[in-house]
Amino acid sequence: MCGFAQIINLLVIMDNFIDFIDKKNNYIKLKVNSKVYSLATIFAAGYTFLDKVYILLDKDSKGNIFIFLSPQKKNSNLKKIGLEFFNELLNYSHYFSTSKTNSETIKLILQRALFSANPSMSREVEDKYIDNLIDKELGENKENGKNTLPKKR
Amino acid sequence: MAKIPFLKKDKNGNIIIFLRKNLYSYSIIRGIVKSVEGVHLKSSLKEYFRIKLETKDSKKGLEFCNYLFSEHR
Repeated sequence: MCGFAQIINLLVIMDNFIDFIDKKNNYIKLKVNSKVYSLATIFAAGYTFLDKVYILLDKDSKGNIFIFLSPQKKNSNLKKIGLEFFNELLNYSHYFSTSKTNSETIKLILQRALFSANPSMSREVEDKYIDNLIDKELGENKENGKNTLPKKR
Repeated sequence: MAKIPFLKKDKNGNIIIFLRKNLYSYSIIRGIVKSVEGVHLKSSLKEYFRIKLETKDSKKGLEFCNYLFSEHR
């Protein structure tokens, strides 16, 4: 099962590569599978290249996104630019995935920081939490009460 | 200057850019087209937005593409 998953991963990785380099017209076409890198990742990575290259995007029916990079300076190394773009894609993909997994922790830390700055806020939230807990308990008791009605004799 | 597909010239030499509808946002493009003179949008095509720039300079077309890209971030 693990080996099968590795093969699938390898196929997906192989699917993401340089589509072609047009030296005559001075551009490189990259092919990226949208299942591997999201559009947000592509826009974020592309943003860091805006001072070096001109960027245009296209997509096919299979879900592949094509990235056209044309260097602003003449005689630039097209392949190097393409490979650097893939590195940046990986960088942003990692950033987005870690920020997603750490979002709850960051939220908690921020909440604590805010509460320590304003203790009255902490009491308000605590009161609200207790109220909610009481309401929930009362609701459950009502439901249980309905279920445990004495049977008619 | 790069001859990227989707970047064409009409019979008068004006720059025409084709942008995929499922990659570029209509609201962002419309906002730019409204605020910049000499830019025209045709959105009736099935898969692409057709943007016409009243310029013959290909470099300006490419710079417009980069500006659009940065607005999508």
